[in-house]
Amino acid sequence: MSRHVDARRVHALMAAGLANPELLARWRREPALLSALGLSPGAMDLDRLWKFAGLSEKIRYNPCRNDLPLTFRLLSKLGLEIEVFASYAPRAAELRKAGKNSVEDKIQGLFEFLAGWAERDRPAHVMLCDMIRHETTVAAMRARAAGGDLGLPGRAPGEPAGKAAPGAVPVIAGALTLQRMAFDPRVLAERLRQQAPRLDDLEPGELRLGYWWNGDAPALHILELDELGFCLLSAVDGASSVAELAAPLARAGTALPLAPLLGAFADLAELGLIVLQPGSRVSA
Amino acid sequence: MKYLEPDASRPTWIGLANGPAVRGFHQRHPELVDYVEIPFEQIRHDAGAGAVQETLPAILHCASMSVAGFVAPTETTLAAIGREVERMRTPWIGEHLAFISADPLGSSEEAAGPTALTYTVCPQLSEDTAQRVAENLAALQARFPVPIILENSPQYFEVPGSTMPMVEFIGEVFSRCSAGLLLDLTHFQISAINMGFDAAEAVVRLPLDRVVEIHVSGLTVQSGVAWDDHASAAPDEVLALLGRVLERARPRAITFEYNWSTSVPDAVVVRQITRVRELLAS
Repeated sequence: MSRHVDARRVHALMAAGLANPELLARWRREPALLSALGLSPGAMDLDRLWKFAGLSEKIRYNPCRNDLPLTFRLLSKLGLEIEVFASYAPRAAELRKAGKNSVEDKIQGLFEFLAGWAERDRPAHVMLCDMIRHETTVAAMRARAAGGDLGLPGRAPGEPAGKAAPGAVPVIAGALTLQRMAFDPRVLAERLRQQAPRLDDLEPGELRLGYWWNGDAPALHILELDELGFCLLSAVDGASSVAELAAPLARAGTALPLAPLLGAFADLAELGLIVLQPGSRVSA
Repeated sequence: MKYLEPDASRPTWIGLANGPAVRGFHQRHPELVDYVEIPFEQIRHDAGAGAVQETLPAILHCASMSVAGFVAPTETTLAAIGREVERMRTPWIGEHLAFISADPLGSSEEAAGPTALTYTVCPQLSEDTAQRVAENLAALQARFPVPIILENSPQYFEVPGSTMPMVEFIGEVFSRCSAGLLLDLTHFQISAINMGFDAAEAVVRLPLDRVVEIHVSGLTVQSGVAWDDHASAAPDEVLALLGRVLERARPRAITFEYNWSTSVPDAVVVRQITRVRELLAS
């Protein structure tokens, strides 16, 4: 047991550290600061107080579980909840101070924090970032659908895909968000739905996903794309013709002669992902 | 609105802490749940949180009175709690043996007022604190027409200046007041893991004759510490503690705190509630 220290003072110190993550961080860097506050440096386990602050922060984010159920489950199964939220607490406090307290603000804050916090050579961190990107993308697409913001409708059944000509302008049919992932979120989701999910056998790879709502179908499609398809869809801006896209594609590392480029865009149009609109200008 | 009524055929009520899964679970298994435990802070933040009492009786839980603290709750807070006590017709108020506010640290902070937290904190385990609890409780109890019962805190670390372990502290508090005990068995298990004592041996040394309500929930061990986790099911060791307590005491209510998410499967909750009812009947 510790030597006597006034309970009122101890509570004040603990509360101050828990309420102010920057102050707690300062104490952890310089425990001797506690002496001036009436507590010998070794008397308080600052590391555990920091972790407890993480628990408190995590509970503040319970309203986000509805939109991020798999992210929270993954955090728990990876044993990263406390570490993540303790590390995030200073940024979370800044957001609160700035009045950013909605569920959307919290999700965005957590998303941005994880992107900067994650270590790219740690598969668990990469898995976590992939999962929150997956869930926030799905949520954003659903919000767009609910708001009727689904862009150009896809072509009707039987309608021709559009002529793949150099002057044709590819336009995304519906709404599409592209994501590169190291872990397949669909596989992760399936594993996480199990009572005792196994994750340690999953290896990082290279996955290119298109989250696509074509406006007519009732559900979001998650498509696995090859590198060419991913790059072409990334380049589509709804205004540039196929010929005009060749140069930026080449700069981005996807250099193709015109004929195969036309063929690739024609394939995407056949799949319904794009509509090839006749161009108004004749391109070189 | 539904209210709890004594029922000789069911002397121990079984309930769920209010959360996103409660309504659906109750609709699917109406015979299993007697009440919902609603945190005062939930209703304070969202008055609609109390609507569940249209289908289930309610017990009021609270984390705002800072019973083990040195800064009193505001008059506004106490008045709001009083209104909920009346509205819910709760049989008691379950409050934490903890603090949620404290003095500001220095003169520069004094102008800003006390430090207010959003999560309860285990207090210093000392005679000073026990005496403070008794004094606070006497003042607070005078305000309410139903008993305040005290819930043991989870202990995540040694609080500086503590002069006794958790079991002795609880005994010291209860020797100075006549309050009932809300025995949170998961908090007790967490304290045992983190502070290195045997929960099964220690639980029988608590004032079990004062147990009014019991809480069970999940726990998780992360970053080297055991933490409260209301998003997972109570583990076997907590249910074993429950069995041990029920050999010696009969609470009026047992609450399953699975209220942080919908992640605890129905089948698990059904199995656990059924098992507890069997224990109570034996």
